[in-house]
Amino acid sequence: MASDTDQAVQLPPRARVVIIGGGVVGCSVAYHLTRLGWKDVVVLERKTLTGGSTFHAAGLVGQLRSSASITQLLKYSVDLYGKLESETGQATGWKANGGLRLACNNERLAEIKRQATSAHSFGLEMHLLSPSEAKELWPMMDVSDLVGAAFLPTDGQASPSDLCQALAKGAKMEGAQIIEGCRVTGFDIRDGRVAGVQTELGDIECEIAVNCCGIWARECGRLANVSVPVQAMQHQYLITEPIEGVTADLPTLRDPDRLCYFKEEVGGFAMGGYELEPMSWTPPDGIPRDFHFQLLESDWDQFEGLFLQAVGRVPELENAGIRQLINGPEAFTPDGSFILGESPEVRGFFVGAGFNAYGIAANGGAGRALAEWIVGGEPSMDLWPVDIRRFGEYHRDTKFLIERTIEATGKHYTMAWPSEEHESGRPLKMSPLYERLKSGGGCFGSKFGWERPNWFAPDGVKPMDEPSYGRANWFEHVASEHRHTREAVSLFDESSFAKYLLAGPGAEKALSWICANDIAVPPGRLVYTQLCNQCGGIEADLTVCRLDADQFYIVTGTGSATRDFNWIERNIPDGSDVVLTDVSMATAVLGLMGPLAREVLTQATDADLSSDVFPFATSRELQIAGATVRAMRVTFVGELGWELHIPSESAGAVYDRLMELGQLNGIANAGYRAIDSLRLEKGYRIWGADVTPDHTPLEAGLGWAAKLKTDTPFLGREALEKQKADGLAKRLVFFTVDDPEVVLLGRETIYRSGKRVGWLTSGGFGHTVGQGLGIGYVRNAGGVDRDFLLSGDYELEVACERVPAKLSMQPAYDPKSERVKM
Amino acid sequence: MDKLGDAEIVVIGGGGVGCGVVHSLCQAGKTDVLLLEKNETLASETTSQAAGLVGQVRTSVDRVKLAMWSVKTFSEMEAEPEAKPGWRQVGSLRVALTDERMAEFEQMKTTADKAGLETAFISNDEAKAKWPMFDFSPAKTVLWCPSDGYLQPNDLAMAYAHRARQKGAHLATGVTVKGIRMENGRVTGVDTSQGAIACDTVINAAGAHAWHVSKMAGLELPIFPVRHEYFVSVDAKGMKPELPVMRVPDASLYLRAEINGLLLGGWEPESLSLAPDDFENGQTPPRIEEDWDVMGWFIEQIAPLYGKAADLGVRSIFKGWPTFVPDGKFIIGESRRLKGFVMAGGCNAHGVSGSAGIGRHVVESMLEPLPSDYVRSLSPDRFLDNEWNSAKAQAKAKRIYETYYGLGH
Repeated sequence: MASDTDQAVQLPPRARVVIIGGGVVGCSVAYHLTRLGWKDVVVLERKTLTGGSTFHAAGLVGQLRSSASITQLLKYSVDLYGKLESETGQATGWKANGGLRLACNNERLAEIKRQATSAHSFGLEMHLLSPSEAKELWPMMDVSDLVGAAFLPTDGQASPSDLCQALAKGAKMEGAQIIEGCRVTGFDIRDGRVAGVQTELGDIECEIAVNCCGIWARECGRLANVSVPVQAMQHQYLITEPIEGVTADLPTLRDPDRLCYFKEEVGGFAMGGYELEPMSWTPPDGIPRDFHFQLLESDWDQFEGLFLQAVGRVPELENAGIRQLINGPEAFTPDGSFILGESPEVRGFFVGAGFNAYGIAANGGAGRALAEWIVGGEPSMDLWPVDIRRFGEYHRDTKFLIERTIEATGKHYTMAWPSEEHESGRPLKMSPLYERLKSGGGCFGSKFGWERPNWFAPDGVKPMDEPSYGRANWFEHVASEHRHTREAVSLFDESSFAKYLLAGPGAEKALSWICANDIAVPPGRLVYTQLCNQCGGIEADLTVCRLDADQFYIVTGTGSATRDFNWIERNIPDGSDVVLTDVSMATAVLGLMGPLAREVLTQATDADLSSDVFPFATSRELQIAGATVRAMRVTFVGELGWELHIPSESAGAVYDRLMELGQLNGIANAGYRAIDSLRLEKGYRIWGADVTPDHTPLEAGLGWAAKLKTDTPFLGREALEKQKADGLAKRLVFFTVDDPEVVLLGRETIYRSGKRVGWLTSGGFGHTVGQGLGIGYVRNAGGVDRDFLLSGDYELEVACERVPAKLSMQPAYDPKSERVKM
Repeated sequence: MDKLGDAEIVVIGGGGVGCGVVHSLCQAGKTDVLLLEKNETLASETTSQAAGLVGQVRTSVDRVKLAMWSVKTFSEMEAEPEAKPGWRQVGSLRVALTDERMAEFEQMKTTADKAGLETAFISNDEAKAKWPMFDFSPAKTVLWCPSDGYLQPNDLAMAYAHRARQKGAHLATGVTVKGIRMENGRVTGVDTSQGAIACDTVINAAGAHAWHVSKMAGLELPIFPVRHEYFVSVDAKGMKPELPVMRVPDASLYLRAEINGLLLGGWEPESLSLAPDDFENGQTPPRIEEDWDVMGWFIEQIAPLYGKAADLGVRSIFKGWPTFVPDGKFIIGESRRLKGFVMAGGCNAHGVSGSAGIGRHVVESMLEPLPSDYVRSLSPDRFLDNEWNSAKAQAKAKRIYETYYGLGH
């Protein structure tokens, strides 16, 4: 199916944007760029459009995903596909026949209910159905094992190739060029920026290159030394002959407990699934050069399990004629979310790849988001779940990539348990204290490749997670660690925190520009600050410690390691005389927290630790167990305490010394889940959840952490000043729920006097205050102020049920932070 | 299929009522119960064709309380983690188009108040807020009942069956009852297609076959199947499962959303019924042809409130044979004439919605030394003690159907 594209003879010498890859994603990016007014766009396709994964996609379009922001992108896809045919004159095969999602057990039903609440919170229609109602929509189903279902009337299906052609046509109508038969061989990179693309047919100068190469995306990235962690996986589905009873308006069907999906296909079904043990596709010499419009060999052995599950659901399938079992390679990622954004390694090098076999559903929204990112220079909304900066160096390791992608893909339809941890490829990065914590009963999870203790199992208890949508097995142990921290003293291994050093004569000036708060403080002071973008949105939330006139030590969250480094680096004004170094590995961090922390630390060091001499938010060097330790009096749990930054090689000795000296004070290990419930009681925000680029410090109640009272310019200042003058349309607030049976996880919808006004960004349980706790933003187009917020009755929708909640502008525990300043 | 052994109580008929009765018996501690359903699956006859509406607003306090008991049961079952009946407590609107109807509603509200059922008259604007696609300007008044709703009849039957089985009852399918054994004026057992079963009590919940089963016991009861139809449309704007149920008695209609379509049914002025011996015991009742004239009549009737009805495509038509009796009241309880033979039928199209309340009254009639006046008024003996003419009784039963929403019912 060739399209009328320009002949691959004359390459333009120059284009503003070169998109590499003529599949549905590449064409969508081209389409959206032209709609944003950027017409100087060239798409380079190696062979012919759709010849990679697009042509063999199954074509289901399901909007509901585990992340709310991805779901919102997919909502846009559906809007787009509805309009594309009339706009371009090219049929897309799009029909909104709806999507049915089944639940065969109560846990899955609980998951669906939470998803429904989430969907409702941003206007995505999703109805909960009983088994009989589900059968009415899909009479050929056996519903004897169903406990419930959900129906999304706006879901649907499309014809992948037609959709791609429509997007291509739409892009060309507005001036884009699509060149087939042109293979990219390299990139021209100057001073860390894209300057051009090299091809078999010649070179093109350009400002922006966009890697939409599907299963070749990693290979393409390598040409620019950009890491693109995608892995080709085999994905199969079969097509049957026409079956009586199958009508054109039959909704798509997803049966995650049986790992399979169904779609009407010319009077029969396309039926596929996500087996628990999927197979990767790793040809020994890489993907063959001429692999094009090609499928892999059908593997009935591999598919058999899925087939039997599907027959259990649709008995007619057993005797249906099978036309074909299609096995095509698809690009999957190590965490199941696709990849978008400007690479941290090379400016101007963008990526839109790794769609985990839902590229047909995602390309509309993802193409638009990527185009907006390219044109705007930054993401147009919070896209952290799919942001390319979420990966680390460890994702460059092929073995890890394959193993983790296999694990993530095998979990595509399994329950997405709250707090579930991956297993493959672990342990990867371990703090020096790993073995000690393990023998202390540590139950580990991983973040950004780091092994981190989530909780500690007392003697006789197995350090293993048993996840649940209710109270999980670790709940009481976390409660114990939580209370111990508030009443005695705990030791937290926080070594996985990212740490940078910004040094040089220009450091203060550069950091002053980048940070919203005033960091021009005397040496030894700590400053909690946000880093804002031009719109005032919070790109990072971190702590800066001034070491001396020309040196600043920056500490931020584990998962933000690549992103925050990249943000700071890219926003250092040109010509600044500074060097930014990542020192995360060299330093271990121990958090000694609790009212008895001083009692313990005082025994370990000679220094005067009294508040007069060593006040809160300051840093001093201490000698502990023969090591020089940077002791920072800062806390993320809201008690008296110190974050001890220790040279890695001495971490063990310091830990042993503190544990020994703290015996009489009852010192004990505590883990990350306790940190989360402790910080929730204190209302401390977490970046990526409570504060994101979609929120400003003023909206987040962090206006006090911005230097608006000074005259000093900083990135985002204008936007914040304007917002201060105009007033806020949303504001962060705190919620408490008294009913102990209610489990808050985050994402619960907030209702104010019966009207939907927002959702929780964080949810959990405060073990000291004994209440369910939530953080969220209350929105009102007409403006949000104290009076508005404090009047009104509030409810939270938890798994489709409304529960009463109380709003406060203050955190539940120690709102004046007296404990911290003891 | 559950085993077929002797049991203290045999229930004949595995629809919403039969299963509801078994459930109530189990709740009252009577678990040595065997239910026999002639089809291969429970709830596959009239129950499967029911619309599932559950309305509590009635003309007598006893009747309101029976419905309230059902709602209470459905809500409790829905709140449990397993085997839910698909109960949606979306509330209901009762719309009056005439002054006489308004007066009737006022009386119904008084009855509701006495029974402790919350209802309220709401304005046309408030009604429109609940059903934005409808035009309420013809409405004289609207009575809102927040605790009404609808459920999925098949799911309800399964919900009863699941809980009954957990308590030790047995429910067997694919078993036809061919005869009732009696000795000295009392029931001793049943003959089935799978052999004889000894029992002390037989409960007749056989729906459209209730007349046949009564005949097996030597009793003739005026139970007449009357055809009832309703349709479900293709997806229509604004329809979603959370919308309240609506009844428009002056138009002889009821409606609700069925997922994203409109479910619309009513009581046509010329009904179609069967004489009980038009078909044999053990045979399925006669097949029903869709009556498009009747569907068309429903659409005409709803037009003043919903003009778009005429444009709706019909996706499926439901048709069944609910049974009606000449005085329009349930037949519940034991007859003096045959100890151990208990009726649970003649539901006048309230079998599914009344099932829990019916079950409760059946148990009351069996176990209470002095059942209430209301329960005693439902006894089959009210027919057996008097002569009645089959043709006249059938005509009366049809009238009950046709004047379902008749003023003063």
